[in-house]
Amino acid sequence: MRILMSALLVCLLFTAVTFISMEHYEQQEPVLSQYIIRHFQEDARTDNAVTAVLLNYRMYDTMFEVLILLTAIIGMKQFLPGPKDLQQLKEQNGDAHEQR
Amino acid sequence: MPMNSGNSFSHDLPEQSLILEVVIGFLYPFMLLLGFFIILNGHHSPGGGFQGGSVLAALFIARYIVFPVHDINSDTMHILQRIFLALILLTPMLLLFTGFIHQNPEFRSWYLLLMNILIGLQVGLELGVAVLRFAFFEGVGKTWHL
Amino acid sequence: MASVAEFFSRLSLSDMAVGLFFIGLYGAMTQRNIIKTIMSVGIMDAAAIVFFVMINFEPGHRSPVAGTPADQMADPIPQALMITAIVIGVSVVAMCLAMYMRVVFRYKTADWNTLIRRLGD
Repeated sequence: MRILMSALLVCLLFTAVTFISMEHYEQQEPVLSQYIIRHFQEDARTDNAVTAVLLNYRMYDTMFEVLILLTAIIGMKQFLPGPKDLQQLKEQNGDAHEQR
Repeated sequence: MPMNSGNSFSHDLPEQSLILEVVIGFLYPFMLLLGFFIILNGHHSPGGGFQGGSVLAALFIARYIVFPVHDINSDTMHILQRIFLALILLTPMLLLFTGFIHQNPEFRSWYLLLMNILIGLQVGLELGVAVLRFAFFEGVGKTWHL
Repeated sequence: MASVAEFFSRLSLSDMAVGLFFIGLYGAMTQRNIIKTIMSVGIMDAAAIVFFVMINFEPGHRSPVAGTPADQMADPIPQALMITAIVIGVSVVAMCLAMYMRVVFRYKTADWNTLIRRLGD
C-alpha cells in the first residue's frame, strides 16, 4: 500500500512537472555564455572556457568548494578513527575496549 | 611482499594474486602520467584540477589493492591538505583581488597553471585519505566498540 | 490512450533527467535500507547534474575549447558549475557512508525501523 501510494505520487509529480515544462516553453538569449564564449581568451589567457569560468570569472565558487571538500573529509575523520586514534584509545583504556 | 608496516594492526585479507600485482605495477606510472597530464594541460585542453585530482586519487586505491597495509602517515597528509588549502585561498587573494594580474596579463596562464596544480593535489589527497579511511575502518575498526 | 502516447512522444531529454530525479525520490520514500536511501540521494544528485548539463544544449555542439567555432561551442557555465556540484555530491555521499558505517558497527543493523527500535532501548 505504502509502495503503491508512493509510486502513484511520484508518477503524478513527474507528469505534472513535465507537462508544465512542455506548456511553458521559453528561451532566453544566453547573454552570459555568449559573452564568455567571445571574450574568455583575452580575459583569462586560456584555451579552455571551463577553466576560465572556474578560475577566473567564478573564483569564489572554487575556493569555497575546496573548503567544503576539506570540511567533509574532516567530518569523515571524526566519524571513522584511524590507526593513530585507535592506538591512543588502546593505551588509555587497556584491553577493556577491545571487545563488546 | 613486504607486509611489516610498523603498526600493530595487521590485516586479514587473503594473499593478493600475482596477476593483479603485475598489472597494477605496470599501470601505476601510466596512471601517474595521465593524472599529471590532465592537471598540467588544464588550461590548453579539456581537463583541470578536479578531474586530474580524481585520477591521482586512483593511485592510492591501486597501491592499497597491491599492498593492503596501513603505513601511509595520515597526519602528514592532513597537514599537507591544510597547507594546500591555505595556498588555494591565498593565491587568488594575492594575485587576483589585489589587481596584480590585471596589470600584468602575461602572468595569467601561470596563475591558472599554479591553481590547477594546487587544486589537483588537494583533491587527490583528500579523496585518497577518504578511501584509505574507509578501507581501514572496514578491516580493523569494526572490532572496536566505539 | 492516444493522449498518453502523445505525451510520451513529446518528452525531451531533459525530461528524462526529471524522471531520474523522481526515481531517486521514490527510492528515498519507500526503501527501508539505509544504504539504499544513500543511493537514492546519490541518484537525485546525479539527476540534478544531468539536468543542468543539458541546459542550452543543441545537437552538434562541441567542447568549449579554443579552436571550436564560436557558434558551435557548448555553454561552458553549466559545465563549470556542475564540477562544483559533483565534488559536493561526493562529499555528501562520503559523509553519509561514514555515519552509516559507525551506525552499522554499533547497532548491527542496516534497517531504519530496527535502528529506531534499538535506539529507543
